[in-house]
Amino acid sequence: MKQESRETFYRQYSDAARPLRVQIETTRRCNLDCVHCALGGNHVMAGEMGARDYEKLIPQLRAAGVFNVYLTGGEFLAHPEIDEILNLFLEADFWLSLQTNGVLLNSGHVDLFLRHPGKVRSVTISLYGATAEVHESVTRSPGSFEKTLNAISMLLAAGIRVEVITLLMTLNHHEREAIERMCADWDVKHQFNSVLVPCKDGSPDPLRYRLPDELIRDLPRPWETFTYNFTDGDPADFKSENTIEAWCSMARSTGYLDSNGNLLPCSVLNIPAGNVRETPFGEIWSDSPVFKRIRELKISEFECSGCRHFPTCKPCPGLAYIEHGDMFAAPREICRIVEMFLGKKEENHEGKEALLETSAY
Amino acid sequence: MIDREIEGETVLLDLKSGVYYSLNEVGSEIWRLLADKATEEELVDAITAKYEVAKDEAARDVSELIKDLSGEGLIIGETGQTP
Repeated sequence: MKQESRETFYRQYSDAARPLRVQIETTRRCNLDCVHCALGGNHVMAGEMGARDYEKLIPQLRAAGVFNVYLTGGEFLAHPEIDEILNLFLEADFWLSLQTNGVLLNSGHVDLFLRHPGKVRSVTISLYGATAEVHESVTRSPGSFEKTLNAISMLLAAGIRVEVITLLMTLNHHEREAIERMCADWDVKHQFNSVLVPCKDGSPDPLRYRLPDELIRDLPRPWETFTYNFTDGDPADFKSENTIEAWCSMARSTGYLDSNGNLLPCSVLNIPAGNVRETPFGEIWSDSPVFKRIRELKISEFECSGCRHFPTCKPCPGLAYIEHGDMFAAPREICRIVEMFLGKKEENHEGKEALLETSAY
Repeated sequence: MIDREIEGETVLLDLKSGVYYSLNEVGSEIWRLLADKATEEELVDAITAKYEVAKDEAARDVSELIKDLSGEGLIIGETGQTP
């Protein structure tokens, strides 16, 4: 028996182009009405996957080697058959990560999680303010703040790992530190993000809430992530002839399934590789021309490869795609944020060491 | 603990520690039989019947793997029930 470090194991999956984690958008329905929603609000998609579809899909995911399933939405709990779907994944031994606003979480869900000890890896809760006034100015849903806090309390009382994520925008940036203090009191991890993107249908509505330059400069970090540092990486991985796998796992070890069963490289790169209701998951994963092409993408193909900030800033093809319709373009909003942040460091004559100190985890 | 069988090998994930373990083909066979509640003796018989290996050697390998699995908390007790 060989024990593998997480990094080695992830690398092996990536090198073998084997799916480790699949993010599943159970539904585009949502119980909130957030101002920045990239889906453009509550939708009921025609042909949404139901519990019977997941019953067929689950053995395919297992056979392909998938360990981690990340349920998201819309609001994943808003799927009318979500209790049955959750049960199917837990019974089939998946390590679940859940992304929710928490409002629809009830004691029945928590009891279900407790019947499968350890199988819920974490529940990531979106929290937009430290006060009801600010949180609900984003969610436009009265009462949502209290319900979200109740969900956090319920999960923590049950010993389930909670993480809190805050999208910072003009409406709530001033409560970032207060949210961080709340999270510290709860002893839960917090991360913020300041990257607002257009709606998937191209509408620029969410962009009006982007933080202006002077507020970006005040942030302690450009953004945070639970999984890797802003400046992480071995320089050898960033040679122009290399693929982008050093920082982007799409189609190599991760994929995204939308609520209609379309398998996409990631949540924002809306290029379907196939539909799991027509073709088995493993077949799409291995044989689709879309995924094969993505696995071959070279760093040199990306506009960002010639930038002075590369690879400190790792370009996100998905964000470039959603913003410009071209995954090879530089994602300009990321450029703006990084320029502001690094500009401040340069003005303060802070070097690479200072930059490393600002990495989140 | 959850497991996946991939191309003849088995990968185990300890949900408490987040540590991954891999078992080769023979280890995978033993793991499958353990899940079916096979005894250590039955494991040795199964391995010698399926692979060209002497009974002594198979017994040593089986015993060592059970000890490893038990030591890592991946099976309960030294005669090995999978959790």
